[in-house]
Amino acid sequence: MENQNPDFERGKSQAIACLVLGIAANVCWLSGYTAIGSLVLGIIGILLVVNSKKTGYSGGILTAGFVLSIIAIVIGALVFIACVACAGLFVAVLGTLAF
Amino acid sequence: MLTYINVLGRTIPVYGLIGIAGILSGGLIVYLRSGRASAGEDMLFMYIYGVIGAFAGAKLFSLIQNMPDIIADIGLLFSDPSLFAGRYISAGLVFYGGLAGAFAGAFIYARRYKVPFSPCLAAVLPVMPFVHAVGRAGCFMAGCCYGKPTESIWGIRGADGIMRLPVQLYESAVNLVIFAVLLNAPDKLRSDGAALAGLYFVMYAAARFVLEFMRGDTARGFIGPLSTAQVLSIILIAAGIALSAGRRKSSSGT
Repeated sequence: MENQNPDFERGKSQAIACLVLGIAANVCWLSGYTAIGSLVLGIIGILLVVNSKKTGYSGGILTAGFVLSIIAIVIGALVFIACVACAGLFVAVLGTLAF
Repeated sequence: MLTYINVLGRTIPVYGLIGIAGILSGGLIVYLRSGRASAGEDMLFMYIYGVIGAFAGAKLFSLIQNMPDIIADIGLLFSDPSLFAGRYISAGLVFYGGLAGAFAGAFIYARRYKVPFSPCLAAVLPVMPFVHAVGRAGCFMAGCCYGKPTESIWGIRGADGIMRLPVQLYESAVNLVIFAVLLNAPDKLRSDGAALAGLYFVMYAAARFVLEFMRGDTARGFIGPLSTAQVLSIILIAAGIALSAGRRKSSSGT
């Protein structure tokens, strides 16, 4: 029998939202600087997973959304994160090569 | 040193790759440890909130530190947004900002879902130096956060061709020692988040204060003769001692 608990229904809605965000987040990292969208949407997706799980909902949609959000964050971060000194050093090395 | 690798035609920063590996392994450690704890799910969720908070805090501190440059380059935001994003949004993370952000994230989680903060924090906190140790190895690979030039046998040739102290690896080693100490702390301490945080603050900040004298990069900012991180280390040592002393007083009072 379907669980009609309002908290459970809210959790299910959040799980669906998380799945949609997870798919959208994975589209974002396909092209350069839009990878920041992967990070933002992925993080929102993860927060929705936690919220949904706390309402007592658990199911395939939630797991799929969680996995897609994690993949989006990992790949989005890989494309986007570099440290400032590393960028500075890169410029310095280029300068050395030029002279 | 290996700053970038090429995967399927995309240039991936090794720093980011190792950082992500550290966060995922930290999550795995929390997951494995949570199997033995009653608040297992909360530990994992608190870790996730902590990681999100750490990134937000590390980025925010970096932006504050670079604010004069950002204001000077604000025109780039409109003329060349990708260069602006590459220079200020994708680059730069400050550890002490990450530390503050991680605690804020964990606290927000505990408040939002009415989870007891102290015991849950005590279970998750030991992973923090582990993730940091892996992250510093990433710094070493990228050639950032480097040490002073040296002629000694400890020197390692940096990305700029100069022999430098591998201070990133020293910090990694220190963090791994702190990780081992926190994991093997006495039972009384291991269940008290504030006391364990106090111990972590004192150990890490003292080590960082000393290690800063060996660093050779100038991008980290200075306040008088001390670097920003050294000033923050002094504050953190004081906070750590106050936390530990406060817990000792409250436990002897009960």
